Amino acid sequence: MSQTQVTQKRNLNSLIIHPNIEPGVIDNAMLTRCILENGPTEEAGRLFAEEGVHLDEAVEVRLEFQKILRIDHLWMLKSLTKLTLAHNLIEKIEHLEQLTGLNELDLSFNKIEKIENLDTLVNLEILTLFHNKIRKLENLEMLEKLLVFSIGDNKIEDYKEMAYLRRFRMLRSVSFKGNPCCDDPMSYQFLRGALKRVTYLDYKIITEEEREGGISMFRGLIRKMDEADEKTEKERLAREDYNARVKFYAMSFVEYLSGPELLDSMFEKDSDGLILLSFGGELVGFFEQYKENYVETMAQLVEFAQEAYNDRQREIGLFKDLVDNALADSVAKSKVVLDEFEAKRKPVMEQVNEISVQYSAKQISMDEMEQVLVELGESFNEMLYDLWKSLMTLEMHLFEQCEDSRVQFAVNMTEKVTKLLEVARNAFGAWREHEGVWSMRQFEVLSKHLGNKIMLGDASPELYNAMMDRDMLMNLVAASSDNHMRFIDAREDLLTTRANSWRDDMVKGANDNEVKRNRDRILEINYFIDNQRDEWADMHMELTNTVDPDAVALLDEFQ
Amino acid sequence: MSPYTAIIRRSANPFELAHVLVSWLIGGGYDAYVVVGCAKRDVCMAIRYRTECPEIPDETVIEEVPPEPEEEPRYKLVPLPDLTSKYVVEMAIKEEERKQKELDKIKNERLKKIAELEKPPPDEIDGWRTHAWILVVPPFMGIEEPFFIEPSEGNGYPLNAPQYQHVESVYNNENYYVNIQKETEEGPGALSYDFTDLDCWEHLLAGEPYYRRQLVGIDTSDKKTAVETEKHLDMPASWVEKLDITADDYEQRYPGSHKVIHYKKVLLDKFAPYSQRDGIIKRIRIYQDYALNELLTTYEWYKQREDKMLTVKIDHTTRMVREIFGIGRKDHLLKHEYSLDAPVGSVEGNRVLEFNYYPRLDHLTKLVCTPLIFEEYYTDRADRLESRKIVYTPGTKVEPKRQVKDITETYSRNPDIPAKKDIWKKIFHIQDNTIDLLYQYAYNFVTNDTRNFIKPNLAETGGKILFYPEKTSGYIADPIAERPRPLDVYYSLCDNIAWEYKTCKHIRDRETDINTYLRTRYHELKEPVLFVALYDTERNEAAKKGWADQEHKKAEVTEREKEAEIDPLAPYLARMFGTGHGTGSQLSMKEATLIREQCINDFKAKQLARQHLVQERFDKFNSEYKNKRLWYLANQFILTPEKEAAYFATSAELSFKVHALEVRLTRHRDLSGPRFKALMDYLDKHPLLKEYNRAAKHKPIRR
Repeated sequence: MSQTQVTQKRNLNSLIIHPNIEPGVIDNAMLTRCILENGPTEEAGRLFAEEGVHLDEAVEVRLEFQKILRIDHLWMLKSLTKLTLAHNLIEKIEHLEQLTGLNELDLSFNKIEKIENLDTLVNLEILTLFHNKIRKLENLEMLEKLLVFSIGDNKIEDYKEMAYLRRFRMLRSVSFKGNPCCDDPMSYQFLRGALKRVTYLDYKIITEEEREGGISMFRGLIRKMDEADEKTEKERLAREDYNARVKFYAMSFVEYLSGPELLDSMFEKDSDGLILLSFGGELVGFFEQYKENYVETMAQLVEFAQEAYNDRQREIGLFKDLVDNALADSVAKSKVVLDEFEAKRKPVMEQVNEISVQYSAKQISMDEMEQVLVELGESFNEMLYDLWKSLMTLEMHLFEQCEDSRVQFAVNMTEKVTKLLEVARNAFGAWREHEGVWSMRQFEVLSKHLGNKIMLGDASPELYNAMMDRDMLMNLVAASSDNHMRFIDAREDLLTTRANSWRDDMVKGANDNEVKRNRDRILEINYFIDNQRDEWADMHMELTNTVDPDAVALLDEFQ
Repeated sequence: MSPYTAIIRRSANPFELAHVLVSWLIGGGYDAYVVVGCAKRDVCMAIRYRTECPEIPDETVIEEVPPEPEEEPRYKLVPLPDLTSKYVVEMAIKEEERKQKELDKIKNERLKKIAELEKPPPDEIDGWRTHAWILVVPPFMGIEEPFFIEPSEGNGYPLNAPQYQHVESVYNNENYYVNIQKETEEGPGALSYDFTDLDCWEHLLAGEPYYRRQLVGIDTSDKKTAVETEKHLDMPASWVEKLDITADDYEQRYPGSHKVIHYKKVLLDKFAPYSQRDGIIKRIRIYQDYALNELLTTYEWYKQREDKMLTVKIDHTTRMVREIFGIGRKDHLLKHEYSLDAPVGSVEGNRVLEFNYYPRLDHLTKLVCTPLIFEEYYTDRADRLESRKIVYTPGTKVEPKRQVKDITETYSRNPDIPAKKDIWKKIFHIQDNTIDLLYQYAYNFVTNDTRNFIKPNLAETGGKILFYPEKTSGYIADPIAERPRPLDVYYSLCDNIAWEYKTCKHIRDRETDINTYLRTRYHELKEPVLFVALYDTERNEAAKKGWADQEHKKAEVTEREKEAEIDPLAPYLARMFGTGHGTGSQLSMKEATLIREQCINDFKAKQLARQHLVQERFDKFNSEYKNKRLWYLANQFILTPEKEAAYFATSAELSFKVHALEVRLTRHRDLSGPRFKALMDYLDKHPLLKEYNRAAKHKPIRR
């Protein structure tokens, strides 16, 4: 019995990965300890520790030599840019998804076998995976900003794997030695030739001659890779271009309307229309004409929308200018008022100082000092009241003046948007007309050839059926037409709603900003005035050794 | 006399002067004429002491008015309701006008009195003095309105200038026009200067010069007659030599290199360049009275001074001097204004120095010194420092030097960091041992954050800065912001203590700088040095010769250095005695023999080594060359043209090298004998080996 128990235990024990080592667990205690160890020293260190460690403000964390087995519980470090988990016992990269601000990641001297789960770390620039057990380079596609990459002392068998690094346009330094494939001297030549943008290989500069040598050695292979890359590069650029254009047009609400794309996509979604279109012949001609008309109408709309967009931006700019100027003016005037207050305050404070000096030199009695202090206090209060009045007046003036302009702004914006919507309505109406014409023509052509078996040489079965049966044909045409009309309506709606909501947002935003600003300023003014009053009161009490009645009341309560 | 003679003699009557000037103007393309008429006595006799000096610099500040915005702004702020009383404002305006009228009346009376005083004594033949001056009419050379030029001065005057009383006739090389217009009271200003108008001007020669012809009613197809209508008689061609003044002559135009013109209350001195020791070329002295007794202001202009001083203005009433410098000074100073009473060598006077901030490392723009305040202004510094103002307390009997009381540094806004971290002013109260920090104003805020430190006494804590919360206080303008962290405040304190130390040091350096500068200026003013520009061909001969001499001397020195005595024995002496030893005392026999042996052996070894080296190289290249040749001969016919060209290039190089080495070998062989002999001679004659040599001479030692 005990024998099986012992063997069981021993089997369980063999499940423990490193039986002799006490593993480390990443928890608050460890994080706090590491952050404090690497924090400021001496006096600054004392203050740092006193204040407590804020995990979400730590920018750099070093968790080296902590015998960590698994990465976890790091999601709290929200502002982290530099993380090292080197010299631990980690086997899998995981749970780093939340640290999107990460700039530098060091996982060297661990036992990692596969690169994975780094997709969210798009800001990563320096990645060190030195001395791990990595066999293959993969899953690094999202790291577009990668600058320095270290993969030395791993288990990469084939130097052609390193061609994976060609995709990183920012990559400049690669460290590679210590891999099994490095015994082959050709590996370095290959790397020098293939990785054209990389400047430093194993922390040594690649000279031009070495690069030439590498290229000439693997000329064929590199040329093939270059060609493939060129293609992907072109596609990428085309895609970026397209996206940029879509974004650009989206700002004037006319995205996808600048070419025949929308029309094509409309037809693609409409299966009945496709069947009818596959008839060919004259239909194709009419279809082309329809497309041309559509493109023309939409081009006019796009142009107008662009102009309108520029117009709107100009208007917004003018309004912003006015508001900014008015604010700057008001702030300047307020600062002048504050300076005057300071100038008046100084002599009062000096008088107070004098009095207190006299008192401490026992030249005057407590009563006399109190009297003078009370007088000075009254004049100080008056000054404060004047200050408050002037500052608040300025702010009120500013607010009222801007209100009118805001109303005007709202009216102008509405006008512009309405105009745009009118033009859009016309354009879409024209499109509907074209659609109607197309539908009619389609029907005419098809009905002419109705029942004509000769024309339908290699037609699809649906088309064949349709052409035999008049009713079916009419149904198909009607369905297609309806489909198209719905599509057009949807697009118009989209444009209208977006324009309107943009205008509403803009006007509301302006109003809200102004109100918030106003309230902030009032808050600031009042806070300042209160602070001044408190300071005076504190000073008064200190000098006359009077006790604060509120504090006394509080203390009494607790006694 | 002809214009040419007038130029040579450098003096002429008004007619001759007018001819010279008109000739030049016409040559330059202007439509210029000599005017014969009557002028006032002052003009005819070149009396200038009743006219204003035309060359006083205009010191009105031009204010740049920003251009009006062109269109009505779409958005305008509603104006605030105007609560002032319009009636009160009107009454105030009326009162102002009344006061102004009285002042004006007083001023007019004064001006009238002055005019009375300044009136010239009566002139009997006024209105009859014949004079000649110049008229320039449009449209050539962009002239829009006709005007007069006075040839004795060179100044231009408008047509209604009071000194010209009648115009009788006008002429140039094309034609002579007589004025037949009725004389009016307004003088020549009201006349018509349209010479084609036959009611105003009578032509001597009929017709117009070709550029004023209006070819009206002419049949241009008939060439012969077309040319002959409107033809007028031409004046005969000019016989005068080319009028030319060389640059040299122009520079030395003043007789005695100095000319003085006496204007109303102003004395104008003009000097030829390089004639005065300090490089002055013009001086204007403005006096308070007509008798030129009390000096008010002096302006001076300089050229070609080494210290790049361009103008000086001395204001004798306020006792201020203003010096303006050109670009090129090492300290990039542009303007220096100081009081004549300021102590010359010290910083404590009233001074303003303006610099060219761009080439200076510290971007200093302006320094203002007064006895108790020192201000520096910077532009575009990387650390955004804009100005630094230091306030001193005056010196006391115990410490006569002024002490620093406050240092205020102002910074400009750095838009990249939030306002609560961006410093606006740092005030170091040195004598109170406190530091005040004021931060920038955030958007929409009218108060700024402040922080006040009482500096810890570093002597007590042994240099370490400890943080005491009671020694600091501050105000945060944003009521909803969190309190600052003690760690941040502590860092701020450490940084500012370090910064204060640096600033104090900087102030001391700056004072030393200025003192040095003032001393240099003093020297420069006392002993002005003039420089000759490189492109000034006449004066540069002397400079060029000086340079040639310098070059010679330099070459000589380098040659001498090369041939400087290399004592072959020196290294051996050094080896035996240490460097610098054994140069005085005589050597004993043993030492002398040793040294001699060493020297001779080394020399022989060196020669041998050299020979071997050259021989080796020669052999190597030779064999290479031979191999290549063989290879070529073997493969001659299967070589491509490029390879052949490559072979020829390399073979030519190799053969050149081989030849050179051969020459070296032979030379070496030839010279080694004489060299050895020279060494022996030297050793024999060496002073330190005298003893040995004496002995050697007596007892010939077999070698």
